[in-house]
Amino acid sequence: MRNFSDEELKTILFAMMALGGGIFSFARGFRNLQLKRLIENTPTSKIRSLAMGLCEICGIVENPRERLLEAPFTQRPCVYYTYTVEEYRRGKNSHEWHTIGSGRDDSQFYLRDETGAVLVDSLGCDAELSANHYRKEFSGVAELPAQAHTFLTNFGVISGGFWGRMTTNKLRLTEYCICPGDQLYVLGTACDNPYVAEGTAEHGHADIMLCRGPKRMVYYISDQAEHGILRRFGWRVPLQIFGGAAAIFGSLAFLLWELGAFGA
Amino acid sequence: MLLGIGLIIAAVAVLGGLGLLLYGIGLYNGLVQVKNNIQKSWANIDVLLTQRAEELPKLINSVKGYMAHEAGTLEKLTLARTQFLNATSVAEKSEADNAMSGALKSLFAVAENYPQLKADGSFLQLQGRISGIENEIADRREFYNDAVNTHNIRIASIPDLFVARLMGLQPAEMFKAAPDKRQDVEVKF
Repeated sequence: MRNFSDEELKTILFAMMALGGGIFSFARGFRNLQLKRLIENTPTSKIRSLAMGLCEICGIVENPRERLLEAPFTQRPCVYYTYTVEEYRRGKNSHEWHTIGSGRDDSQFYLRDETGAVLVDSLGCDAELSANHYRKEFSGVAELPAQAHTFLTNFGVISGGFWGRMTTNKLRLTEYCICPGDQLYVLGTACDNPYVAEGTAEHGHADIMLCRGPKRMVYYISDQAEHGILRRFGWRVPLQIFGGAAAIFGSLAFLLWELGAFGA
Repeated sequence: MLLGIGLIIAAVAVLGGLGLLLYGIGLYNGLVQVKNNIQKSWANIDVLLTQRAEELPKLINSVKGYMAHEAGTLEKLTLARTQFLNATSVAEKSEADNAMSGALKSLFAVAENYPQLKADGSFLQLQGRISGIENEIADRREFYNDAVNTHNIRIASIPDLFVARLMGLQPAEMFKAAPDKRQDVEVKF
């Protein structure tokens, strides 16, 4: 086996990462295909006649309590949020965004359609949101709004104090949330509502709660309508499968070339 | 050179084969799912039909005292309930359900002639519960038809069609209302 230079080793490492990424994308594509088919095959239930087990519902978000969650960057009253903080780092030959922090907070809320309302526990959901979307770049920590700085310091994403404020790397904050009044699609498991004693429910559906089922069952929430979700999967799945396959073949061919399998 | 090309061809064959296998498994599992969705949705209608049948004795007891002269209507309801509890097949249950719905409709219509009964709290509660169950049954019948529709479209569409033929899947029948239920109701004031 011949000796490789540092540059060649770096390129081989990059090719191996591309190979790993291709395998991940290929597998992910089939997982998303499975989810797409599940969404297509499951008819939409009316909330008033929900049956136990995997079900699909659509409705408007209502809040069961007076106090809502507060989105970390926009301070929007919401029932669920997820956030990402990225830092722009300049290396010797490259510069790119690195994720330095992320998180989410979930709560319970009611989803109402024309027939009734049901409690939804968003804990453990795979949420794909696009409507209430916030993304902004800042020149450095000192430029962050006060509430965002406090939030990120409290959660240890950035350092507080004088030296923390002196960091001049660009930061990008991204936030998604579900707010009361939003239209939501939920594919989850209808199970017993632990907050309602048996036999005391006024309507049959009050005994039921939507949550993540046992054995890692699907629990998918989106603020798009079903046809919008399927349209998005319609291009994403082939892109992941064929893109992943192309990355696998390309990186494999490159690695074999570097290793001399195609001759001198 | 040949080794490299050979390895690439082998990788294409393995990945292509794996992809086709995963896709085929996905098709098969999807068809199993739509087929079972029909059975599950019918079973969920059956749950509500049974629940309604179980409410009937309480309803009959609450109206007996007031409607002593309506023995015919009450007997019809009791017979319909017995017919449902004895039914075993889907067709028998469907027929018994139609009979029970018809008998309940007659009972609630006749109850309009008894103001004291209409003011009875327990009768009103039971009437509300049964009406609620009827609404849920209607929703689940729509759900059942939706499940059947999805199944029938899937087994007739390419590429699911080929796997469906191998599995011997046939189109399922949707729920249809009894002919008398489709007739216009004459409203007199």
